[in-house]
This record gives sequence, structure tokens and C-alpha cells, in this order.
Amino acid sequence: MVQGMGEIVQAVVNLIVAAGVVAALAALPAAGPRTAVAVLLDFLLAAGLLRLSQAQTWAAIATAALTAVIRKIAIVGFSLPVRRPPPAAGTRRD
Amino acid sequence: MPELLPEETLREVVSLFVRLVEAAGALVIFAGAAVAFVRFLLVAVRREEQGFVSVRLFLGRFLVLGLEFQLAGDVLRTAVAPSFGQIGQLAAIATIRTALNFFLGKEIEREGRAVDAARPPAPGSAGGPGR
Repeated sequence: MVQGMGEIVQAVVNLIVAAGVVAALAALPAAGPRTAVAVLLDFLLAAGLLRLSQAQTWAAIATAALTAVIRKIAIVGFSLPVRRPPPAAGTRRD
Repeated sequence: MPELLPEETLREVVSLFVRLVEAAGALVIFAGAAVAFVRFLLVAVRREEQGFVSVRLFLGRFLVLGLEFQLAGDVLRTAVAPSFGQIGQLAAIATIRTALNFFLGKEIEREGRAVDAARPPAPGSAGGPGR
């Protein structure tokens, strides 16, 4: 039964990853690359959370956890505002 | 003297509850992802940039809810974890889920404030002094 559950979760994980890729591609022309990558990472995070529920060994836990943490950091990084450099000294705005 | 509740029975009952609660969490995450996918496509067709943030918030709330179910499963599992190794693995998973839950909650809060700030004020409420 646990084996069957694992197979179902793996199928669902693949489905969510595919949905994330499609959603990101749909978001790319409408909202730009930052939003598209954030959308993709959100779906990948959902897939990682499901994969974490099936992790049985230390290696599997560490892999799932590290992947989730890296994705979360990337999402936070993409949500930070872009800071433009200040205009160079001596330049005039007419 | 017969045992009122044999340990083996307790282990089986808790294991069943853990599976049910974790399945509920997985179902919540999958349902959230599926609905968010459809909403993302609709927003992309309408080309509403602000709509993407709202749908990301929606998906984030489902992820938090799913994580809470999975954390409930972890708590239940501590009742019957027999070895130090299993308790260690459980602690690692629970820590990761708690940290993700915390940071997802923070992100939802921040994005929610940004959406509220970008929303135009309701007619009749803008401009006038508040009483």
C-alpha cells in the first residue's frame, strides 16, 4: 500500500512540475521573466513538499530539504525590488 | 491480565491516522496547485500582471495549509517513533516544514500588503477626511 502511495505521489509530483513549466511559459509574455520564474519556483516548491512526504532515508530527506530551501531562497531573491544605480555625478537632466 | 490497549494496536491505529492526515495534506497541495494552474492560465490570457501575484498568494495559502496537515502527521508520528534514528529523521522533516511554513507565511503577508497597496481605493472612501 505504501509502495502504491509512493507511485501516486511521484505521478502527482511530475504533474505539478509539468503544470509549473506550462504556467511559467504562459506568464512569460504577460508578466515578464521575474514573475514567470517565481511562478515556476512556486510549483516546484509544491512538488518538493510532496516529495518530502515520501522521503524515508537521510539522503532523501537532505536532498528534498535542500532543494526546497534553495527554491525558497530563489523565490525571495526574485521578489526583492530591483535597485537602479544612482545617476553619475555631473550628469544633468533636461 | 489482558492489556487494555496493546502497543501493536496503538501503533497500527496511529499509523493509519498519520497516513490519512498526510494524504489530506498532499491532497490540499495538489488541489491548490491544480486550481492555481487554471487561474494562472486565465490571468495569462487576460494579460493582468497584478493577477499573477494574487494567484501566487492563493497557491501559497494552499501550500501553508498542506504543510500544516503534514506537520500534524509528524506530531502524530512522534507518538510511536520507536528508535532514535526515526525520531531524528522526524525532527529533521518537522524542522524543515516548520521553517518553510514560517517563511511562506511571511511571504504571503508581504505580498498581501503589496496587493492591497496596488488596489484602487473603493469609491467614496478616498480623499475625504476620516472620522
